[in-house]
Amino acid sequence: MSNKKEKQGLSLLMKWAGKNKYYIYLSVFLALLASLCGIVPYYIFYRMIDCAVAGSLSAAYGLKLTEALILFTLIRVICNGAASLCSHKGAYNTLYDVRCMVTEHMAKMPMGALNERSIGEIKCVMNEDIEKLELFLAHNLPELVLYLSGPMVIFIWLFTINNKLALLSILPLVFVVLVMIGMFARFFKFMDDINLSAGQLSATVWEYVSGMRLIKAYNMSVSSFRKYSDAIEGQFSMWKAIAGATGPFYAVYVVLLECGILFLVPAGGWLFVNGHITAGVLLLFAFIGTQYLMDIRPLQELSNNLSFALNGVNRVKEILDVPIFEGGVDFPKAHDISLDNVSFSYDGKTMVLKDVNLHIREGEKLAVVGASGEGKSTLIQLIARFYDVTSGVIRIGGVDVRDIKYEELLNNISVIFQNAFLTKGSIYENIAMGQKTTLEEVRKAARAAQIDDFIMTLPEGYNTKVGNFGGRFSGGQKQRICIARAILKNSPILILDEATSAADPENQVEIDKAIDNLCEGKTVIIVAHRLGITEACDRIAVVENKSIYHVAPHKELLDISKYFRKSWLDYTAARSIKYSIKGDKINE
Amino acid sequence: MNNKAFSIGKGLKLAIFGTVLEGLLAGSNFFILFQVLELIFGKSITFEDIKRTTLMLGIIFVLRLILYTVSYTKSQIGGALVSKNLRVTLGDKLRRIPLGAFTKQRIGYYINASTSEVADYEQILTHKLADITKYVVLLVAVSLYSAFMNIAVGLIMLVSLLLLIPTIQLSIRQVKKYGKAKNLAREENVSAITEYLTGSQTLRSYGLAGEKNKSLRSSMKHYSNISYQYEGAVVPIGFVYMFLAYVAAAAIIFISVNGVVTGDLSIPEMITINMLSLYSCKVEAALYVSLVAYRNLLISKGKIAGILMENEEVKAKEVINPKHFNITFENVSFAYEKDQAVLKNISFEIPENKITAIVGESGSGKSTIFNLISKYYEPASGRIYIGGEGIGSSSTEMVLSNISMVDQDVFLFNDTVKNNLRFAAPKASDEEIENALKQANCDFVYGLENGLNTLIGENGNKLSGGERQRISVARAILRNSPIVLLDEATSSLDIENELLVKKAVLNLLKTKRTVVMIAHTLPIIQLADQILVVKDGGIAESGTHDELLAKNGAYAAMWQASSKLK
Repeated sequence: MSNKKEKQGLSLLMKWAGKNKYYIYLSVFLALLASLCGIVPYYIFYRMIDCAVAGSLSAAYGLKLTEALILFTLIRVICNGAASLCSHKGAYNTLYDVRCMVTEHMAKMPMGALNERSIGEIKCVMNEDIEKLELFLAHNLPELVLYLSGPMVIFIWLFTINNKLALLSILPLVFVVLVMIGMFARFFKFMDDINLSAGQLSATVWEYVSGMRLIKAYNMSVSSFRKYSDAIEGQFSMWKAIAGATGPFYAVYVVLLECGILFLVPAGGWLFVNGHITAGVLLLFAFIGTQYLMDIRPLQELSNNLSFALNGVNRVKEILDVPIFEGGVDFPKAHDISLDNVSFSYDGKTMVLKDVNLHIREGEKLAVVGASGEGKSTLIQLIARFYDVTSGVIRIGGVDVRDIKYEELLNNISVIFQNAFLTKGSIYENIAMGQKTTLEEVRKAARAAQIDDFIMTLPEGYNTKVGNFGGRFSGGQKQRICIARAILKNSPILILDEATSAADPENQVEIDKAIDNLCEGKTVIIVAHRLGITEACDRIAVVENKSIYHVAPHKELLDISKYFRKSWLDYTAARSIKYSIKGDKINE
Repeated sequence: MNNKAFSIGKGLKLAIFGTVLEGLLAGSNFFILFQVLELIFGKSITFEDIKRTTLMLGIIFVLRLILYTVSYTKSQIGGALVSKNLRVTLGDKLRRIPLGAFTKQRIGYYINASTSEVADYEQILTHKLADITKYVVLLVAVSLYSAFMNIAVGLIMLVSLLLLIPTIQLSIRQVKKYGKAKNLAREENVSAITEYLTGSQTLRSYGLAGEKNKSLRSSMKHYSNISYQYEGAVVPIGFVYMFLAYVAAAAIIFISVNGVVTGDLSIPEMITINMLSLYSCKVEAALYVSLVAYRNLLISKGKIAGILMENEEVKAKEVINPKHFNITFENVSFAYEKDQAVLKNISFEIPENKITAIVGESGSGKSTIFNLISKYYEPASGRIYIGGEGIGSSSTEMVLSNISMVDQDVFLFNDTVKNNLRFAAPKASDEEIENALKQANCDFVYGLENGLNTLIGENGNKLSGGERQRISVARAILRNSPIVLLDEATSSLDIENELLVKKAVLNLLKTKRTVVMIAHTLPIIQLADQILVVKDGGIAESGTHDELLAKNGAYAAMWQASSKLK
């Protein structure tokens, strides 16, 4: 948390603000004006005493002072209000711009870098972290100006009246700073405890609430409640200790800000008694000189908020700092895929894939099998360039994938996962996906995906909004809509991550038919979870020990790959298990 | 009960009292300054007087220092105590909320309430409650003191303080009115962002990412605009109040100057009155800020109170102690949401010590049957019996004590392997635990760094999916309860793990219990003693595999489809 870094973070934020920063500047300027007006009440007070001492106070003068106070307060309040509106305008515009910037950057980021971050994490950045920036732009910055400039302006004014007393009036700051240092030093000692205990509390609360079903089933209410209440007790005793250690410092800080009266009254009194200053000056210092420092009190809270906002900036920056893929040639005409000595590591230390060589012919249907964690998913992610290879090269139609325009690459390789994604729009929109397509073409694709009949039974047919109806589509139906979309898109290369879905058999048969239609004439790579489907593939590649040693048609592979042979046996065994209460019906 | 949960302890009350006293002492500085003023304008002041005054001020200052230090520290501790009590109360309440309420979304809400909402509430409470009380008492005292010098001035001060009430009311109203629109826009924005992120892969491959995604952009823009409108509706209120407060101060200047001119007020009185009135403006500004913060506290408080007021489980009236463990559904209907019946007047019998399999499309109500047997939910109508005893009026715990569940969402405690099993059967010996692990194909546990005593992390996250499922089977074997509910999801496992889990389940079945299973594939249930085909909220067919095939109905069609699958 060095100061330098802090500056960088906030100036970065101002850069993001772009044109909106003029709103912020305007707001700061207006806040300054307001704090200038803020001395008017005190000035009026001073004039009033002066006149009273001189014995020249009149009703007319009183009225003049009254009018002046109202007028300047009006200006002040308007400036303050306008400052606040400006800063909010600038802040919310900036928030929108930053959100756009992040989505725009994400649109160019490598898919892998995007997938590494959980959706929850990015969601948090997009919603909460970016929202934090508003605090700084709309509140902290203008407030900082207000809290600092107000006392500063008053100090300057006091200085012009009596420089010695003015200097004396800021003496409390010296004590205050010392106390603050003491407080932060003590507080930082607790930092680790705070984080640890907060983590513990939330983990315990999470377990207590998420596990409630089991807790009740196992009648653990008492014991698990004890664990929960222990965590709460731990949190309590820690904060109690913190309060004991730092509370007095904060309290002393607050009161010490007003200690100026203890110097100003005797010093001013001495000067007055000896005829060096007027009664007006004495009173001015005894009253205002002891009050005006109180305005900086919120600064202490501000420093917390500032680090809060800064944290938001850094979280956003983390995403914006991810390098993006840009430029390149058009997608090649030929669609065979070759991997030459491909190695890959996520962290630069442990290899996930080592020296993989594989050639997938154009129009071929290749299945990829292997135990979980062996690198199947990584392999297909490299082909679709979610990541760049650590060494070696992947070519499509003879062109290094790194040289192909990233958008084109994504556009020409359809990746179909088991979790079907639908937008809230209509079914038509979900299949057409932004392309200008006639309903007839969309229906043709839907027919091939075995879903047209179903859609036509809906009251609004293709205009049915998924958002309103989504809950009533079964998983299998959603999947087939996604397949229709892919059929319409007609990309030459297909990657299927096929897991046995929870669809019922009748739906699954339809899905299988839809997928068969989709695959026709394409270069297809299937990550096979149901080994049964490998029989229909041209060849099968086995990923084991972080590489590929065997690629062969089904029958041949059973002979040459020990892993595949065992898996096939396991598969047949698992499929032939029949549960029975006698528990021993297993056909080997 | 609610008030009790939110009540502040003695320490905090004392702290507030101390803070108020400190505020009054701070105000008494003006009283001393007034004495000085009288001396100054009496032309008889000496440095001795100044010294005496300084000593007085010094004493007050030291007293304030002590009072505030003690009070502030006490209020911090008192606040922490409030958090603690609230969390304990919430935890206790959560135990009594029906399990059906613990949906994924709701669980997040409960967790958030017990952690952040409580923290927010406490923060504002400890920081602001004492301040608010102090400011109000101080302002009233100042008004009264001024009223002694001039009744009109005192009244004006009081009025300006009272104006805060409608101001805050107006601000609450505006927050409610515009806050609703803002919350709506935020929710829409969050869901648009969620949709965008979830589908980012698809959207990108269709060129619908980033700026090309119009719907995301417009929802973000809308949220930005609404947020600004909200501030525009709320922000000016405070400034209008500030203006009125200073108009009051201006009026006091006018009155007090006139008072001096007419001789009703002495000059020291006039000066003191104006000092007090300007000081009041400052305090009122601070009070307004504190009240706004307090207003926000009510939001957190409302959320917590909402949970504390949720319906509780019906208190168990009857003790059930069934001798047999057949399960009977008698005309049972159920809906999660009104008008969307999931089960319609459904009746069936699940025989004791046999396997009953439930099949049907997703969403047909299979898991609802499980939820009703486990008493997570109460049926809307109809009755459910275990061994002939109705479960309606007994407690969830009592019903669950007869049931073991092996389902898709395995939940494991952040504890050792051994303890996770022992939770299921507290009296089990080490041998029994090891035997259960063996039966459930959990040999892998011996390879963990500390064997059975290895901590498995939050929800067992140090284990793989297949391992977690097998541990949950081991738990069920060890628990040995008369009813087993089985919803095995092996679809996410690789083939090796799938086989291991299935073999583990076979060993569980050997214990010859009443087994109800949701079947995702048909071949596995060919030997089930009974198959229930659920369709459109009712039982379409029931019987054994062979009987159902002979019927040539819904099940036969499914079977035919199933045999086509590779």
